[in-house]
Amino acid sequence: MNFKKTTKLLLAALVSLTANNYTLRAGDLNVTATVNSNQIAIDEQFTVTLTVEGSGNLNSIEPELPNLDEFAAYTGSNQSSNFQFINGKMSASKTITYYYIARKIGSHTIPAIVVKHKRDTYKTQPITVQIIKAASGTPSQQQGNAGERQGQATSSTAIEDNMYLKAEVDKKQAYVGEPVTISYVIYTALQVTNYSLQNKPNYGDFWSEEIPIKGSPATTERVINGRRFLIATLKKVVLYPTSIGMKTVPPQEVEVAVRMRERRARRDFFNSFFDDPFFGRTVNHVLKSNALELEIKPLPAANKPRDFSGSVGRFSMTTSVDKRRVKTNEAITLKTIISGEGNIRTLSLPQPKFPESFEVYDPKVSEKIERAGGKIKGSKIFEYVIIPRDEGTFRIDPIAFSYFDLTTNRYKTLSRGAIDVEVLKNDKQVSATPRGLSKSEVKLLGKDIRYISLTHREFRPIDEKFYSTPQFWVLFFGPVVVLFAGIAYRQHQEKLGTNIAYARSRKAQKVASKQLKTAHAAMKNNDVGGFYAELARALTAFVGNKLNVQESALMRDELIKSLLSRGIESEIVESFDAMLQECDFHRFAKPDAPEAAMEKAYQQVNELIVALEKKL
Amino acid sequence: MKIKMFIAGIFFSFFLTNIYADEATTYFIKGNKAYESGDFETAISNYEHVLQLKQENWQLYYNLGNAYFRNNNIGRAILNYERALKLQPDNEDIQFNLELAQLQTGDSIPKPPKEAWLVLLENWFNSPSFMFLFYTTLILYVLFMLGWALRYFVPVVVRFAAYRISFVFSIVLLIAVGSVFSLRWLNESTKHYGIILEDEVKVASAPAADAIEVFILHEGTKFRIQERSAQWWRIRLRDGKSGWIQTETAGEI
Repeated sequence: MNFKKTTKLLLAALVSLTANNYTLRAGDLNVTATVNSNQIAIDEQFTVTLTVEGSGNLNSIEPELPNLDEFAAYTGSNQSSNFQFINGKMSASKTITYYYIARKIGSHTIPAIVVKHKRDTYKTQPITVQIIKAASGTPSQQQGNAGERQGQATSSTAIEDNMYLKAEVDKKQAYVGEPVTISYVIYTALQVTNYSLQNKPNYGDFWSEEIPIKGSPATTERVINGRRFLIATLKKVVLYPTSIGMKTVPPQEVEVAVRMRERRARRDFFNSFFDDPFFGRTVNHVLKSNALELEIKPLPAANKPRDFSGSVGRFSMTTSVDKRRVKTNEAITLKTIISGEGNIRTLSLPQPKFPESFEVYDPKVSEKIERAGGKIKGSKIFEYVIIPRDEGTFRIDPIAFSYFDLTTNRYKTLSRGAIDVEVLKNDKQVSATPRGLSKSEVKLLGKDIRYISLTHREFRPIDEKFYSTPQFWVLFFGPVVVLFAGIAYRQHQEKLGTNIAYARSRKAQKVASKQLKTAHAAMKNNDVGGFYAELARALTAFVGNKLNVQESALMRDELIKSLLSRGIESEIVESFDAMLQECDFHRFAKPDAPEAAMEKAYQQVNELIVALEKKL
Repeated sequence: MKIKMFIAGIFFSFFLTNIYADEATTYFIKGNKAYESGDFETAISNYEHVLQLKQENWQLYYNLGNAYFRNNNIGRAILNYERALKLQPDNEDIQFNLELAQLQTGDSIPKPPKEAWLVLLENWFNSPSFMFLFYTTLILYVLFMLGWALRYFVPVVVRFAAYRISFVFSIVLLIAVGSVFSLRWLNESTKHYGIILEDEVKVASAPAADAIEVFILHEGTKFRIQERSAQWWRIRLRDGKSGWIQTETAGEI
């Protein structure tokens, strides 16, 4: 064997070892595909198991059937689901088992199984399986030491004449799904001390359900062709045909330990004693049963109910809910039990119709199978957990289950009456809701996000605070300033109204500038007397207003005295006096002056008024 | 002269424009174009560029949230929706998309039950945006102050009932809106929230790498930031659980 070949083989072995369990993680679902064995004998049944785990409702998951037509035939599938709440979080799992029969020798690949959920697609890893030739012969024959084998060889003809294994069937014709019971019965004239079933025949197109035989099998005696045989049923198996046509049930092999104790003692003492050298010895022998031919008929097409899903047998159904009055968001369990005789394992129930506002989880399915009494009996329990989301009275429609009744050879539909459930308002709305999505949330999930905004407001700096703009400070302090201005203005107005001295002082400047204007006009008209008269009046009136002196007391000496008493510098007072004297002189003595002098006097008066305004 | 310049400065600042605003607008529009053509990664980088310019408005955060949502980055989508909602709390589009994003992920933390009237009050308190409250308070303040000043300039107005009524009314309104604004300001400057951004974040009992893991949070979960150290935040969940997480595993709203 060359090196390359060895590596290849090793690699193949590795692949087949690791191929058993592949997990692919994407999003929140966990999808796994497994096979029961990577090495399968041809015509043997094997299973592909798909496990889907996740949180939330897995009701909607309908994986595609793995297409293995190239090398295997599909015979059926089985589904179960399971879920639980842990710390308010729901975890659910769904297991689907597909049954196939290997048809072609070689290395084959089971392609990835695609599971669609919500918007995501999940894929399992492909799995490689080896389909090999069926194991031939019985390995036990090669076992044992040489001496024993020699002994067996000599005694095997003697044994075969005295014992055989027969496969007995209760009927040769059966409908698809109708149970056929096969009993493997040993007929022996020898003493059997022990036995063991050698192979498990490949029941290809059948579902098999073995009925275990407790303890040592019961024996009966029967005389056949004059010989007394001991009869015992070693194995009983119930087969449920899955496809129509002529089907062969392969033989069963049983290894028996036979005690070779001849009845020579009484009848033929001398002959026997010397003939049989294996006196009292135990010999192992393998018995092979006959193969069986069965004709499987299709179920009648007439009157087949629409919801019929292949259940055959005799069944009864009960349906119950654990409570008929609940509060919203509290779980109700609807339990449907189908019990009876038939292919319980493949039995499925059509999805009941629940009101819109009920949230329904995948049913929890459990089965109980009794094999006692030579018949397969049992029950399958479907538990639906439903959570009403709205209050009101709701009706759960009757649940119907159809099957083919073998006693009457007719289809029969079982239906249990509608159930009314009263849902009350829940006060503790929030705390009672388990995690998982409410109906309205599920509806929301189907929606898409709203589109982006195409218009926008002015962009602002991220760290901008409302008080970091100058506008804010202007708007904050501006009104304060206005308010204080208002208060000041009001005080001023009030003083003007009540305090004559204040009022006169405030208006002194105004009056003076008015009179100076008239004086200026007189100067332009060359009215020398009028000009100086106005100048003198402006000066005296200004000081009079400022000092609040009576009109009658506007005499030069009086004014000078008042000014001095107010602490006005003597220089200013002197120039004030000089100015008035100059005015008087021009007014009365010499009503004639050059324009330059008048201009100068005008300027001086202006300066004087400004100087006095500052001091007073 | 100095006073004149100061006043001129204030008036000038009124017309001072935000120098990055135009650039921000350009990138915002670029981001929208990329989003429209289905190139969400480019949209994200354009929107993020605006944030690097330190410019914001609620539409930017909303659009950025949408782009992250489309890019299957639910944690960042939620973070940006929350930021948008902070600027514009009563916007239906933001609320809708945030709710949708929250359905996709996040841990469910039960809300402690509250009285209905308290919830109503809280909603009322939180529904106007912060800047809206600010402007309303400011306008009411200016109106009130000018109205007050008016009685000094024109004392006759005091004789009019309309003036007296509106004066009292504006005081009451200013106090009401002003106190809501102050509470919100206090709330916003003291309470900070964050969103978990990584798939799974282990919350530790102390701000150290080898501290004991207390519980695990998942992408999109909202928490309150209680304390900050160099690389760690002490966080608190709605149901009272608290622990430390590293700052790079989460984002602040």
